[in-house]
Amino acid sequence: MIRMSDAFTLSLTKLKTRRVRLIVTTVVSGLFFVVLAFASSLFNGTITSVEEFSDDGFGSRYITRVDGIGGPNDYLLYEDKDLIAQAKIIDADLIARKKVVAKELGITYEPTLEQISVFPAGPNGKEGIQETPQVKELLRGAKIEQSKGFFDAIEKAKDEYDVTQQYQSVALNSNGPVGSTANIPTLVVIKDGKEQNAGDSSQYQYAATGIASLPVGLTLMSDPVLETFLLPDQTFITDYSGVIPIVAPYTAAEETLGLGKLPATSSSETRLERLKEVRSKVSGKTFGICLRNQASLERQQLAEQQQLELETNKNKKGYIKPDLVYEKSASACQDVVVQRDVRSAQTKKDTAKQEEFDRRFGKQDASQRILTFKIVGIVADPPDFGGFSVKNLVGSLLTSNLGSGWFMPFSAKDKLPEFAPLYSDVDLITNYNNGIYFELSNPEEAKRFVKEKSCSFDFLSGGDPSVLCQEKGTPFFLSSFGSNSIALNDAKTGFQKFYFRAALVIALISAVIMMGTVGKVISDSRRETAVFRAIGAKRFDIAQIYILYTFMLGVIVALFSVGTGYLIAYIVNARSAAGLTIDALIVYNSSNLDRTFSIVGFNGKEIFGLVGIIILAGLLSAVGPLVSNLKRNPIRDMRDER
Amino acid sequence: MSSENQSTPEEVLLKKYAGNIDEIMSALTALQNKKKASKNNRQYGDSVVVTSNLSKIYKVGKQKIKALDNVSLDIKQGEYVAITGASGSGKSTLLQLIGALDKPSEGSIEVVTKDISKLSDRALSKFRNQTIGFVFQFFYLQPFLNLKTNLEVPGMFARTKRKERQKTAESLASSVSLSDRLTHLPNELSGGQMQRAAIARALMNKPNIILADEPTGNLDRKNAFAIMDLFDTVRDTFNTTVIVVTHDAELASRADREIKMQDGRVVS
Repeated sequence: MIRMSDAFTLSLTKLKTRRVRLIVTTVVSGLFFVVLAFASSLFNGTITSVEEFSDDGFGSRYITRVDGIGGPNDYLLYEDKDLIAQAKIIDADLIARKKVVAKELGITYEPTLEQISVFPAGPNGKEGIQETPQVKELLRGAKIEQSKGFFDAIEKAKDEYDVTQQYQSVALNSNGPVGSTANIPTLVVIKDGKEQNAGDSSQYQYAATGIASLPVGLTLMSDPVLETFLLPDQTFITDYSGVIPIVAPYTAAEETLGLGKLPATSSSETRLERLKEVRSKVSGKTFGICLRNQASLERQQLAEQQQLELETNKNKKGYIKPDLVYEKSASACQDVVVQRDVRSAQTKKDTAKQEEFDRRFGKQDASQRILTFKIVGIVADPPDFGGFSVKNLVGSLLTSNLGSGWFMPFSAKDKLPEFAPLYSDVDLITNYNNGIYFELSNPEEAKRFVKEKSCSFDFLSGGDPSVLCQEKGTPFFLSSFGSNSIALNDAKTGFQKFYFRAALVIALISAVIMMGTVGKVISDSRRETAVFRAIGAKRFDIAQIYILYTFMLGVIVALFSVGTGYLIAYIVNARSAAGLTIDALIVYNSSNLDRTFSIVGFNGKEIFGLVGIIILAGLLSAVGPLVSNLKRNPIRDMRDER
Repeated sequence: MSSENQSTPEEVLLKKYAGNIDEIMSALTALQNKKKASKNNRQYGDSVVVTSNLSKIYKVGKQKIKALDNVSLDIKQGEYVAITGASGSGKSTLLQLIGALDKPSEGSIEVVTKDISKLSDRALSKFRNQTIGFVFQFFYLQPFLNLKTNLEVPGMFARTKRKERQKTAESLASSVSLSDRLTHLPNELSGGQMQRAAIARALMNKPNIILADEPTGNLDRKNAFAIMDLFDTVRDTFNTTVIVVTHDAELASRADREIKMQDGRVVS
């Protein structure tokens, strides 16, 4: 074996031959490694930044959402013979009572028009229950009974794991816009003193941001979860004034201040200034929203239809106006006013009797009031996935929120008694907008909980998941909630596994590419090898020279890969870090506005591992050509070269 | 000793009789006879190359080709031998067997009292490194190493200390009048300079024998004669045995002895 310094001197000459090929090989075989080096920087930079921001925000909490499986089975429930029998009794009782009251009030009551709870047997010969107001309580009781297994399992899990807190949420938009569920009131945005199309709730279906998103996105959430998003000097404590504390989406907060959304091309400095302005000015800002019950909403719709009818027919001869005409009030959030009433005294008397009849059987009078909300916190808007970019990719990892929309502390639920029927649904697992959450003490415990207790089954194998999961004693689907903290914690190890597996696959590809160059250099050097052998080089000396050469080639590819990967990372960082910083400041509600987000990160294990794998790939590429070269007869090579 | 700056005796003659080829040839012959007369009185050392009934058979496809046929030789220490013959006569094969680059099919070969046909691959490498100095037709210098480092290469394989190697390289470069080219790359040297460098490289480990395979085949006449004279000087200076393969009878006449080969046999 010759001295390493001498082997280095001789192998260095190999690098000087076929330089163009060397450059092409370095670039081509290093390209995938460039991607890996960039990915390592991106991942570690992002993780480090997220963890730093998480110190302020919501990111370091380990909350798991618990969704039930195996709760009430509506089909079984609605075909239950005992329930059908009870529903028939309830229907009969209702009709009987209505007959009595109708007779008492002297009005006509037609029992055949009554919405009954049991529909007659169809082609399958089975009767079934439909959920009418009169059987709602009956069905609720049955559902609670069916949910018992789930709630028992919840209690058991709390004993088995280090659950520090249990939280709950209730989405007040349980079935679309607030109020679309029977007897649940509707929220109507007031802008410039006017209601925004009260009565046409469809307009809110797709409002994802701004104040207009409130009617479709209001959720009650346990206070300890929401506290993370409080603005400085704000609390959830309510007084007797009726003002309701609320955590608003960022764009809605801007809107309440009369600030338009900044253009997408705005500079980071402008966005940071805007963030500072919003945080300082919106804290404690109040705004009103009109709350109308179903009866009020129906009267608004009636007034709207009548006014439209009058306008349409105003020049039509022979058109007879209705005896009773309503119009909307000039003021927001008021009941309709009577514009014309030419009804006879008898008609008025009959109408009053009918209203009394309806009132006795649960119909509400029209009711509306202005709710005053006070902004005490800000959450990020849902991410805007506007195409693929590194910024969007990293932005999607910035998660420290509760979903999207508006959040009220659970402690303020009494300020909205109109939604009480929804609050009572929390002991059911049928409504997926209701949530149960466990906060666990640490990421390992959270992962253990999810791993051990989240029901998994093979969809292809068939069977009823609810039954299978109940039988396993794990009637849950468990998922991380509120932040990516568990996922990021998993990602750290998951990324490295993926990273090194990818690196090994790429190493094989690169080894093949490098083999071309190494093979060519070695085969070009047959004569030189023969000369070295003639002047006394042992086979091992020759091997040593070429091994060192491929080692150096590997080092060059590694330097190129890591250098270029980090160069790209720095360029991307320069272009997107400022924007990500703003996003992170909003998402994590950071009080320290001087924090910066960087996607440039360094993980020694990954980078040095990558360098090692690249060098190994180089050495691997040399094995075949070298073995072949060493087996050759130097005389023949010298003769062939002539 | 010849150099680019110092004229060889042949050059002196060429200048003296410029334009008259008959006079040149006559003067050259007189000069060679004078040298031979001097050589014939030389005292050689012990035998360094002894072959007995040496044969080498190559297989080309199904055919067997006898490259060497019963060659028996005895070459002494300090002898300057030229092996001549037409192409395919077996002279290079003989050189390769002496240089331990190949093994005989039959017969024996002893180089510096060692039966090299029985040495292992590793021992043969060491033997070539320490005992033999090779000089090739195409020089085979490392194109990206300067002259000094090129001269050091055999020393590298011998694990000679760097300082010692460098000192020897400088001394050898001086011996072949290349002291002022030590930092030059081979492509900055002329053909003659490259071959002189190759000879200096061959001397790095102070070998007993220099084997030169058509060392002048890639040079013009002037440099060819200069190289042949340089071998003579090397032999005189280091008492090295020099065995040169050449097909050029005139160049061969510069050696002490000429071994003529034909069809794998020594014919004279």
